Amino acid sequence: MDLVNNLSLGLETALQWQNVLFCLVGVALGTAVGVLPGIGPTATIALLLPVTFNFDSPTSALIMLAGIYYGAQYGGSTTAILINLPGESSSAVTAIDGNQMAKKGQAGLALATAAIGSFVAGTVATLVLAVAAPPLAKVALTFGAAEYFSLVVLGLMISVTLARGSVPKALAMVSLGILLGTVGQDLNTGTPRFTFDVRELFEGVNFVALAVGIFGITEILRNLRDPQTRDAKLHEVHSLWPRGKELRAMSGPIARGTGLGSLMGILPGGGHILAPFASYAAEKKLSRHPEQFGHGALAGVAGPESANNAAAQTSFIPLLTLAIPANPVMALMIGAFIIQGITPGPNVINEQPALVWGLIASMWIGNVLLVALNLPLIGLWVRMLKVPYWVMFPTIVVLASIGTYSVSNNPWHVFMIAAFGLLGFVLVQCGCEPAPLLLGFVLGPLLEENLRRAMLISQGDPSTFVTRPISAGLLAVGALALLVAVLPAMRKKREKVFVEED
Amino acid sequence: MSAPVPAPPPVGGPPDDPETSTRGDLVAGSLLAVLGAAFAVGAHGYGLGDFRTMGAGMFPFLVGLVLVALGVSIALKGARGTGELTVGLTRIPWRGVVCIAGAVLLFGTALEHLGFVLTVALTALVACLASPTISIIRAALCSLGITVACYAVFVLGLQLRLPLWP
Repeated sequence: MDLVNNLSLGLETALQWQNVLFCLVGVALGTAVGVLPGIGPTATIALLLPVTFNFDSPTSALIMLAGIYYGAQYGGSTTAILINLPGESSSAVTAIDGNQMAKKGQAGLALATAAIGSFVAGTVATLVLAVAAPPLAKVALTFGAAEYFSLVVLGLMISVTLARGSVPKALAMVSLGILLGTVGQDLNTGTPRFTFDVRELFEGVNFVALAVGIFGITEILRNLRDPQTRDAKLHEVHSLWPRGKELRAMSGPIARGTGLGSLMGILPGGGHILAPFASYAAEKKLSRHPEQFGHGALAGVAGPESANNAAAQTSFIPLLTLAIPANPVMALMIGAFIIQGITPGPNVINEQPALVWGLIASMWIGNVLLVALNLPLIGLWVRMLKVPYWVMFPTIVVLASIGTYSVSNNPWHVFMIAAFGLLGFVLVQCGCEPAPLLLGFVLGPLLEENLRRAMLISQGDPSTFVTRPISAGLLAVGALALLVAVLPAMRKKREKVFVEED
Repeated sequence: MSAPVPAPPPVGGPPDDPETSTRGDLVAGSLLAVLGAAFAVGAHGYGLGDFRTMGAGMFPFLVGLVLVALGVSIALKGARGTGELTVGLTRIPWRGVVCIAGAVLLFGTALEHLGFVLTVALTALVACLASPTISIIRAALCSLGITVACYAVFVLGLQLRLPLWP
């Protein structure tokens, strides 16, 4: 049994004491930034990316960064339930019914439901990841330039579909990201592009600076404009453990949420954002008491929380098999691989089996740690919500500067933080989403490289993208996704989904 | 200004924010179009080549044109008042913008001259002043705390090799 061998290799790696320790550090940090509104996993991972450069083992580094990501999904729901403010965008759905439950004095039950749902979903999704990754990596090895090009287009189109706000804006943000990705020396001809003869720009726009600027600094400026009222009433947590009846009531939604989330997480382009919304809509439709939704329905917490966590785990599948990031955090993980001298892609799973399987197994260990960290220690996390913002944002500014500088001791990268922070602020205030820009930036070079290679192979005939069946299929799905997003019926639904979160 | 479209929630504030208008679309669209045009013009100079062997400029040139088209269409919607309702550039927190951007630029400029400790302290102080309600004593204490914490984490803990003093 390959699967058993692989998983035991993974567990062996993940259970080494330093890896368990880094996993614990990761999930604890993740929970902390998840609980705190205003700083998310994207900015945190971007900040810590340079630090991992000093780690001895790439496995430990990736285990820790992954822990931050799925730990933040846990932490985000705590804030959503207790003060009706989603700590993470993905826990916006949990806030709807979770906070209503808290108002009815069921905060403990809501928190326990979220934790149990996340744990079950995390466990199942880790298995899905273990089963699906090797065959997908094999398929990916047969991909040529045209297929890769179409796959990247598909990923970008899905990220456009899922962005909040208007479709042209999301498309424009993707394009701007791609253009920023072309800054620096052209790999094929060696021509320096858009560098204004500044030597420091030859290696291109720094990824950490872009991510920190457009997510971290932009968010700080927006919070300075509209200070969030964080002193909203904190609900007290009474009994934590659910009774048998409640366990039975949550089992269905958890199972469905896990299935839905696992599937949507695999989509390149950010399916994990949509997963909790889809699960909420499904539970509402299936429920015998749909009128309870919005007024503290248990299923409205159990389903979306499971979907959310399952999708967070399976979004590693496109990363590990195709080197296509499903969301900005996965884009940062690609950066982490590269910093460690590993080229992500279908070959990693064969060349570095201990790393890949260790990472997968660590996610299960991380989920166990998260349940242990979250339920008994809930009081500690709640206290963190009382850290004033005027302490937090200067800390973020300083950490961002130190982190970015230390990647390559280049002050130009620090200047870029300020530039992208301001650009991001203007664009986000005008309704443009930063996530498609970052994905465009990461995928842009891949897009250009494969476009040029495919056109060279086909002697300049662009029909190669539609005459090769896999490539044509991928493009068709991408076009469909975009079409669905602009159709009036779907637009109304998207608006409704996003209205509900307020 | 009345907009005929049903309002999606504006990204920057509560849905009934009286500041929302479609002017944000005009700003964002124009900005994106100008950026796209700049990239396209620059790329044109790097040589386009042909579709078989693309030059260094071909790909950014094409994407730049796409961005111009998208930017113009967004800006036109904003000008006609049929765009998305957003808060746009109303009520810019100028103090925050100046202090935060200043703090980051200060860090990049000063680090190689003043060393880690002084640079971090100054950066934290300037960043603290972004908050409109903070007192100078509180800002000084806050920056002192951040400096000590950063020294402990980066110099003692992670042993980052940076110049410490001028």
